[in-house]
Amino acid sequence: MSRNSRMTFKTALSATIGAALLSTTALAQNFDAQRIEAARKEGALTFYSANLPELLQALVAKFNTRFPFVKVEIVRLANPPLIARVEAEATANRLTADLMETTDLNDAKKLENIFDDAYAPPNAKDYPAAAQISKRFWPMCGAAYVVMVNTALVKTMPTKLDDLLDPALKGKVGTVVPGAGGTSWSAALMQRVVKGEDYWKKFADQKPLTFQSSVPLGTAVASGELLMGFAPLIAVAPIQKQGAPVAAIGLDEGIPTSVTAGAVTKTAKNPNAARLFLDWATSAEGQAAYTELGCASVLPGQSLPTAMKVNSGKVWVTPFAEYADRQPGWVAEWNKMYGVNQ
Amino acid sequence: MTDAAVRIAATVPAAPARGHRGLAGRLWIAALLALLTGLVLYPMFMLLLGAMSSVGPLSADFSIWAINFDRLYAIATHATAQRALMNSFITCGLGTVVALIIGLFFAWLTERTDTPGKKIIGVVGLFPLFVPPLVAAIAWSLLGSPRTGLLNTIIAATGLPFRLNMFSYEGIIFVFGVYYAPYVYLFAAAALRNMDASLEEAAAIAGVGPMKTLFTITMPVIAPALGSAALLCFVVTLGVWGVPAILGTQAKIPSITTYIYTLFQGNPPDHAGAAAASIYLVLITGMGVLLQRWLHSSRNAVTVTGKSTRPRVMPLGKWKYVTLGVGIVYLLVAVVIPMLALMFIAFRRFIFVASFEAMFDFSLFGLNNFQNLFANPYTMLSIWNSLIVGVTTAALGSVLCFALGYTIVRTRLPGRSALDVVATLPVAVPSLVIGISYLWAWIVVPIGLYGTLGILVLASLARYLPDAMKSMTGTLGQAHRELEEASWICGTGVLATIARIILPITWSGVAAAALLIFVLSIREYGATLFLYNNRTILMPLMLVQLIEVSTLGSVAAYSLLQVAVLMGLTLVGWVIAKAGKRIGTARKSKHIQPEGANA
Repeated sequence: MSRNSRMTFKTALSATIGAALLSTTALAQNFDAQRIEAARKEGALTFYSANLPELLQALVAKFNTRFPFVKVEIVRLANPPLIARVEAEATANRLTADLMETTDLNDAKKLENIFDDAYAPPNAKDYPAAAQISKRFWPMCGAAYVVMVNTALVKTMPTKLDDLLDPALKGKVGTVVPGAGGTSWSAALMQRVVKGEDYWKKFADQKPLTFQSSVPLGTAVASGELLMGFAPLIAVAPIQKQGAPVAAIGLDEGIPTSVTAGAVTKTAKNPNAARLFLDWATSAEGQAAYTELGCASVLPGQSLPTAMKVNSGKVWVTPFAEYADRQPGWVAEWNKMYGVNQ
Repeated sequence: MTDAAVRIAATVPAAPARGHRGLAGRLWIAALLALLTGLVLYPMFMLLLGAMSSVGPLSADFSIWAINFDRLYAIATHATAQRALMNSFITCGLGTVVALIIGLFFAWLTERTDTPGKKIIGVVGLFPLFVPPLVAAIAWSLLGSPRTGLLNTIIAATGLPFRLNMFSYEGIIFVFGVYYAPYVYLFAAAALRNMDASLEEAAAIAGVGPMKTLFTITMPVIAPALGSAALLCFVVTLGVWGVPAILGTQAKIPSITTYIYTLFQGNPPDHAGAAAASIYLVLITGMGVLLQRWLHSSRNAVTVTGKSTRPRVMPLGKWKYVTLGVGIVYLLVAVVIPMLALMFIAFRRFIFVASFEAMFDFSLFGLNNFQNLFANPYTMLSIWNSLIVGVTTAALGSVLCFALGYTIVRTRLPGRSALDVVATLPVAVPSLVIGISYLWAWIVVPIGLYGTLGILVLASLARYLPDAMKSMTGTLGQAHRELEEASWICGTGVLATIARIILPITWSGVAAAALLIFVLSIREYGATLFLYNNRTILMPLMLVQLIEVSTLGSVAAYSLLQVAVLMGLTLVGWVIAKAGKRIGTARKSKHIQPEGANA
């Protein structure tokens, strides 16, 4: 190696180390130093969540590369039993959760009093008003609803909601019932709000197969049993990763996206660790981690997940007021229209 | 007291009065009753309380002063509930008929014909017990989904015009029938083996043909045993959630169990409604169990006692190869084809199969699903947790069963009948309902049981106690009275007599009870479905979770893993039980030897 090249190498090395230090400092400055220290002392966190288990594990792994001193214990349940458990534990004064993430905002609102109202993420004001549920719950994963298509069987990709009304698709499309949870309800809400009252009726005339959750729908499309169906992106991404011929299409009308909501409990044994986790999860860095795992962030400036083929790139953030008010009546109406017994 | 226990108790001498009728005896009964109250009665009470509230006992709005019958009435008159119940009657009823035909055929084949390899067929006929119904339903959903099921892909390649559709009433009935046939087979084979064959012999001497003998003599004689087996099969399938959940949901065929599950897990959940529907399910199941016991103890007990003649073996001539063929077809349908389907999907990178030729595109096969599965920390945790729960439940269960069995069968302590009634009560309570009642019972008690493996152990113990009790009381009733009496005469106390005499000679029954509890608690999910979290996940619960949140490849891979672990652990348990039995026999011989030597 020549002297010049050694100089160059040294310079490059110094520059890299310097940049890395600067970058670490810059990132560290994003988070409150006192909170980091307090969280370090607590060293642990109990995180109740209704999100997908694999996503949670990957997310916590990313958090731990940043803050390795906080051991996160995940307690994962589907949303209804999670809410029931939190309510029962709180009633018995034995709530063990420091942090909770729910996928249904209505449920979250009912339990509002057991969560800390003194905490807000540093960038709370950056989030759109529609995603601000209350002063206790903060947006975490943006669950985007797409059209999942079997690309081995469908040559022309849908671009608009009306494309799913093609008579050739009759009996070969599917959807998750809106009563199954917050994300499927958001998708149904968007269809009716954007396309008008009769879109549900027209789609019902297509005799879609209805599913209680997104995974069997994903399986039906991936196997070719169905040609396409409405599904959350986080359910499509793992199937795509296997190499299956499926695509996730964001339609021109917008990509219905409802946020999962996170809150720190009032009785948290590790409040600083819980707050640090939420600080990180709601930050640009945390939202980028979510995006990598298939969530569509509602934080402005974030890119869309790579698993999704998007026409318009427009995220339709579910307005919480409508989400909450319309849910009981419209879900019952939908069930009747589609012959779903619930 | 159960009928079997009544008969046994009548023939067995009571333990010395001085030890049992005193204060210690009463305290012993009180302690057992208190234990059973916590294990069975208290959770059932909470379930009833939930059904008579508007919000369920977990809610902050729950008040004991606001109990009413509104939800019970609302569920009884709800169209979906009625439809779900009707569907359960149809699928479980017809599934039982199919199980009866298959089970009876196998019993006749192994007990009354000269079919080659009938002993092997007898063992093979029990193989479906190693395939949990949930796994069977998953496998058949892969084989028989209407457009792209693997069997349909093969049928399409042959140019045949028809297709299978497992997402239908027929699909549910088929899976129930095939996978619950071993229950009928066990009952029917035992009845055929034990029946007095002199009637069949007389018919043969009178020149009656073998088939006519079968339908006019054999079948009527074992009819009560068959009726009892059919009712048991019907009652057990009525409480199954997995099969209708996998095959019925897509076809909009709700069953009573999927209806309860939807109410409980729905959005928003209706806990009180779920409890009310559960109460109806308990009542229906309870009636079925009572009827089954009545059948089992009435005519059957009379007709199937002692035997004066060895049963005549029916020479089938060339037809024996047909019966052999039918046995092989059953094995293929019940075990081989479903396992091959699971392996095909588990080892394939993704599920899409464009054509028959594409099934053999080996470039698409790999270990990805297994790699993903073992990269998931919960996979090994679920196996480990299952081992802990299985072993703990089996250990506690066998001790409790022995204590209860001994008290009920071999003592005349006041209150022993109440013990018998309470201990056998859960047989009429479907597993899913046990789970709900345990959730409500223990979450509010501040002893830290909820969210631990402990609550899974207790729920499994409560649910499988009656099954193990049946085996235990039978064994205790057969124990020699002289040995126990001799021990008392020699001045040995009750506990020492139990330890030195009774336990060694009834070891096989204790081991059988332990093995049964172990297998059921690592195979079934119903009792623990509402009680687990990711830290306390068990194998069958992990499978349920994968069905809800993961790819079909992972589900298939885990199903195979579960079947392999289940078979492996059962084999280990069986070897341990056998070894224990040998030790027990050796100890028994040692105890008996002096008498023999004196003689």
